[in-house]
Amino acid sequence: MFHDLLQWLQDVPGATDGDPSTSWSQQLAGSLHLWALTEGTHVVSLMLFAGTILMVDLRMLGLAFKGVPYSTLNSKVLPLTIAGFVLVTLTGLVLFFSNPVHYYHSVWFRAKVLFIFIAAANIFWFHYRIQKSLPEWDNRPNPPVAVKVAAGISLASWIFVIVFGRLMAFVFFECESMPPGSFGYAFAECESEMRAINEMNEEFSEEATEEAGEEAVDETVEEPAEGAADEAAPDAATEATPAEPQE
Amino acid sequence: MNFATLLPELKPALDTLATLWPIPLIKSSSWAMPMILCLHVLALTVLGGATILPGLRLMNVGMTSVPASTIERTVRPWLWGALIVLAITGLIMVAVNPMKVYRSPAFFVKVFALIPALMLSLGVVRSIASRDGVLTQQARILAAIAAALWAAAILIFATSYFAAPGTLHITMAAWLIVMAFGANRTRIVLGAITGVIIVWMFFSTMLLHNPLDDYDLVMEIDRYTARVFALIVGCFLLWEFTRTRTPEAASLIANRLIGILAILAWITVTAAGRWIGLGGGGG
Repeated sequence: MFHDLLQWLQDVPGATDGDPSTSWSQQLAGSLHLWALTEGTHVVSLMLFAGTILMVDLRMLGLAFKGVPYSTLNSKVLPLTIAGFVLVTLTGLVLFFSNPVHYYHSVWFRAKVLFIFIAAANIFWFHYRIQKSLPEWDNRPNPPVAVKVAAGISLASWIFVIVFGRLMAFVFFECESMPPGSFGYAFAECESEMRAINEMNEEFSEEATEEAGEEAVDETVEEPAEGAADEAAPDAATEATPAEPQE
Repeated sequence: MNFATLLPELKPALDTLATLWPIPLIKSSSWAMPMILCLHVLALTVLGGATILPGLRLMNVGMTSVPASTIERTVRPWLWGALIVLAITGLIMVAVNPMKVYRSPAFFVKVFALIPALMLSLGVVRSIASRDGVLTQQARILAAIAAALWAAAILIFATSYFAAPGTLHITMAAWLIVMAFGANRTRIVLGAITGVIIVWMFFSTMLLHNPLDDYDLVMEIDRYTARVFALIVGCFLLWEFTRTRTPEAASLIANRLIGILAILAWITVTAAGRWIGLGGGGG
């Protein structure tokens, strides 16, 4: 759906002379420290965000801070959670920007976004419906079932969001390895990504055949030099192995 | 500085570590390592909540209507649970690829920083919080040793060529603490200084790197700017939380600093851990 827009976002902003490899997105992805710092901030901010939301949810489940009124956690801890959420979201958006097309088609990323929406819906439901009855259960060590359900959904969805985020680093369900027609293929809208990948491969193979045509002419001149290079190679190979244990 | 240069005799033992049960089983499974890594991150977030809440309470911010002893007692099982899961998953992560951490300066910093972090959370914070703010002599001494060890860890972290950028996370956490709980005037001044630094970074990149294309120069500028910024934030942190408008007992100020340090110590461990895979493997 948004494939073309995201391809534009990856290729155009910041690019000089129309070269997509110079765009801001690519600069960020190839940066030595900026991407790493953003990703590190994303994870460290999780300690603030998820760590505090855990405590609030535990109170709602009646499993911790039982003697403390919920309103205390609401007014003193939730602001920390919100600050953490702002950090996690900002860094998350920057990270997405570093490779938008790939993440957009990632099964894990899509599942992650889905559960963020579920968690958000849950927060709205709790805040606008259930929190109205707060005076009734504020001091109760064992809150009503609806409150516990909201806490349970919150905990479960954020756990999924974190797990799916962590799994994004693995290549289990890349579009190239999923069969067309499978659920994963459809869920990730692989068709548009595969079309783009195939177009790119065609361009590369066209360039490669052009270059190969030029090289075929050069090779006839360079053959004697290649024969000498082959003789040198086995010596280099035997030299490489003894060096390794000395590291 | 890494374990390879400090303990070269460990290498043969580490080579066999990867062959011990159940490590080969874990390596051959396609889902075991991802699950271990996910558990490590999840436990990390639990650790976050279990260290931030007591730390803030010692600073006399956050849930100030709740006794510190209640907060400490409530988070204690979660703190221990998180630490155990982190230790087990961490050990597995080391055993699966021992050479990677053996040569990693960031891993050395992480292990080194674990010592003051554990001393603070399990020793000092527990002692003060369970006594609802009373700082015993033993806790004071333990805190001083932990502070010295943490300072040493930071120094090693910041001078490691590959891992040094990770120290920015600690600077950022300290900055957030000042901005969240400092006085308004302090926030404005620090905010303005931060703005100046950001503008400086922007211009140094645009004016120096791009036209001169001198990567090494920009790296040096980045490094010194980061150090200056860290020093500035550190000074603001110390000044903001040691000054008092009313004559307060020295131990209350000490509690405040200990609460901050307890939080920053775990941020240090996390940041160093995150940088294990990112920097090079060199000295």
